[in-house]
Amino acid sequence: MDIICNNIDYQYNKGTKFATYALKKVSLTIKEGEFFGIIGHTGSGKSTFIQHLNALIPIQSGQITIGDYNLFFEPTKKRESKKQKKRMKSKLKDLRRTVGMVFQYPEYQLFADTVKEDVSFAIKNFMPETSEAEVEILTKNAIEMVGLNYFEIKDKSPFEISGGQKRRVAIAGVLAARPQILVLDEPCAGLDPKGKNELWQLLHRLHRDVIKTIIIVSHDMNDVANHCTSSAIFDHGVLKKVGTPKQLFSDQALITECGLEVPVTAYLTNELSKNGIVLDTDFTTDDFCVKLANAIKNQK
Amino acid sequence: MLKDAVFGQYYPVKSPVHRMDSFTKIVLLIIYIVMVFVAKNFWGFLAVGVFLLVTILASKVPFKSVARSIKAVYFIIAFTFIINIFFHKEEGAKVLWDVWLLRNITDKSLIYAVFMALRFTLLMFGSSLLTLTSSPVELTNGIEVLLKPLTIFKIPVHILALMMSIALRFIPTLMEETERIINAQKARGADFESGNIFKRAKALLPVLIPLLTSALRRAEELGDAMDARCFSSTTKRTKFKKLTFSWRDLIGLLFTLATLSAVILCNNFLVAII
Amino acid sequence: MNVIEIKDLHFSYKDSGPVLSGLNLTVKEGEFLAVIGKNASGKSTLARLINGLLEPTQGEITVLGLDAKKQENFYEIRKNVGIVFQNPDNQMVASIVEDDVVFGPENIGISREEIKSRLDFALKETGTYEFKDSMASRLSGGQKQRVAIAGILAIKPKILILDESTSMLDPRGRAEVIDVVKKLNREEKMTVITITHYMDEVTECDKVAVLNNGVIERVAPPMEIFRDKDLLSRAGMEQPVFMKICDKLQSLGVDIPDSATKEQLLQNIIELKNKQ
Repeated sequence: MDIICNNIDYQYNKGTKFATYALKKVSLTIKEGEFFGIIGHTGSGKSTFIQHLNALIPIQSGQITIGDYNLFFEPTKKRESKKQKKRMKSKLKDLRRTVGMVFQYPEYQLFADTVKEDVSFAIKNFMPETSEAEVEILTKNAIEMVGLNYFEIKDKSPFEISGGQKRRVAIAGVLAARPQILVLDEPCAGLDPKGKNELWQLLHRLHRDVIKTIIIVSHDMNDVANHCTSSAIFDHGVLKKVGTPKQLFSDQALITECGLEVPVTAYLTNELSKNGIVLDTDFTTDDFCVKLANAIKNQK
Repeated sequence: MLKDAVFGQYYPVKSPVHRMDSFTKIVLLIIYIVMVFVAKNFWGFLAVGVFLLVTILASKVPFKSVARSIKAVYFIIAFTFIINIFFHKEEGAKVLWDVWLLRNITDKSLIYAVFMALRFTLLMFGSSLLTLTSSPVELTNGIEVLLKPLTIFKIPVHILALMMSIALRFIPTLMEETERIINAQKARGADFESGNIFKRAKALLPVLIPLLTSALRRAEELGDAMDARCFSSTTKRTKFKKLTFSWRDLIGLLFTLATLSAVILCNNFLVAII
Repeated sequence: MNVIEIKDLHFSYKDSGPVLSGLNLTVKEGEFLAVIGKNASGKSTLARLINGLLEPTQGEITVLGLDAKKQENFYEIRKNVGIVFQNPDNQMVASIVEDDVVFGPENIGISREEIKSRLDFALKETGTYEFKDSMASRLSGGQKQRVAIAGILAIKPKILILDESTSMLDPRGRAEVIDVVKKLNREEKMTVITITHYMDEVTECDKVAVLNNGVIERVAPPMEIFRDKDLLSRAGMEQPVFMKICDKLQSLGVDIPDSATKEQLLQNIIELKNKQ
């Protein structure tokens, strides 16, 4: 299912003197199957944007369509029938189940006595009818999906395990509800290089096997160049450009203007083109090196 | 956002009122509270109102921010208003309405109810002006001076003051954190709005536990950071910001005393003249 | 002169295995040293041991000639070794920038005039003077960490330790902090120890110490560490991006020398092209 956003505006402190635009007229389509990157420096509106995708932030103006779900501004009606309310609520739950959201430092939201209980939290909330046996299966699947050994970890306290494990458990806690779209805000923040590499592998595996669309927020352009199929760059609440990393990072001026640095490969490509070496690369490290090596060898 | 909802948060602009000594401001607030209670009639309130108006203008804080302070207590104001309008009894009162719900409402009870509501509102406006124009640190400094006499009883006033200032400092941080955790659990399908009171209280656990864990972690790190910055409860500390009584404070004091006299004047003579 | 000497240092937290087991390290005056290692490798423990926030189970730590195990030395050591911690929100005691920066100087009981001059120096040095009256909660992460550095500078320490101070910041905030620290090292001759796992940050250090399995496995200039791929992977680290590119090109048969920065890599490629 595609995500189609149309003219999204959002203001903090709307209607007061301190009103500030967090998003201005954002229109963006994210196709099913993408590994989509959302980039921009802190305060560019990227976090506000992703929280719109599962209605954690109510829409002020504009419209978002995700599969069958339509989100738009709805003035709070005084007299809403109980039935109506209930219907709205179950629709909202459906949406949140479909679009899983992993916040920054998700390990700080762990709360239960055991890993198993924490991971099953979403299952019990979204699908209260599920039998205990079924819950266990779903929980086990989720924990194994993130590369942990279910029987080893299920009865441990989520506060006792290592930092890297905590993050995986937190992600499993979102995966447990079987979302079709997974949104992650800075999933690698604070991880060391090894942990980071492992997490990227995990995300690619999820993308291949279980999650149709992955959306990540990142400010590491090298990561975006190497992992994303497509991305959108935000600056001061405005969507500046959407495209493949190749399209985005060729425009070095735009990236710098938005307060970011292009990936090293793009930096080199841009500088080299000024010196007569023109490379047609997608800016992944591997592709760049192969193309450059060929260019140098062919010169001989 | 949640963190903006904190009552009377500091409004950081530069104004003569902001630059006044916080200890003086606290003392003036006490005088202000006294005069609001001393005032017996609306003329007295008029004097207080003029005082408030001038102070707000001098403080450069928008009226809206000051007015916001009653948002938190409008219920109490409304409650006292209703109680008074129905139950205030006075000799020689003329009954205005006595139909259906509006039973026994007299002119005197109406006036009295308005008077009490106004008194409460003035109190709130005045107190919020103190917190709007003094940073939490200035406030704690002021309170520290105010409590200084307690050191005689071996009460560690400066540590209490530091604890208060740290607590204030962490309010916005923890508010933000609460919001983030609530959102994260909502994204996992948590529902904080359905069910009876017990169900709702239970639904809060997934927010409270992470919040508590995080607060403890923060406290531990802060403790380390303070130790690393040479904090010790026993050695003598310098106080960088010394409270000083300046001409601004003098003007403030004179102005407040003048208003107090006006209020007393209104109470005793004005009414007689009119 | 060696400002820090650590010999055969052992440490373990209560009820858990050893964190440090026989660590040796010396730091010279004016040096810019990076300590790298994976999460939970004991990097932060090391920082806390150096200024007496933790007590070693065994071994010697001498800081500026003082024994860091003796409680009577803590105060003197902490005056001379400032630590900037990881989370910018958890090390500020006051809501207003200026009030926070003076916390340290107030603690050591120096005169009010002296505090004023140190305050101005610290704010200017870290580029935070313009928001000295701002609420700390409204600043960006990079600005908060620079304020934290100012709070340390105002105590006038000889050694500055950054305990993963950049790990919660965005690239811009990281650059801000690193620039300030580099300047302090160059211009104020301050000894700097930066504990990090961002490889891009260590390229300009004098030396890099790799912490793994509770010991310092190797201390060497950055380039030598970047070359030691076995060590890096053992320690859970990896080469910085430009180095990966350099390596890859070499393995593809391009005759390009090692480069210490991405700018140098660019120069090397251009030179290679011009030679042909």
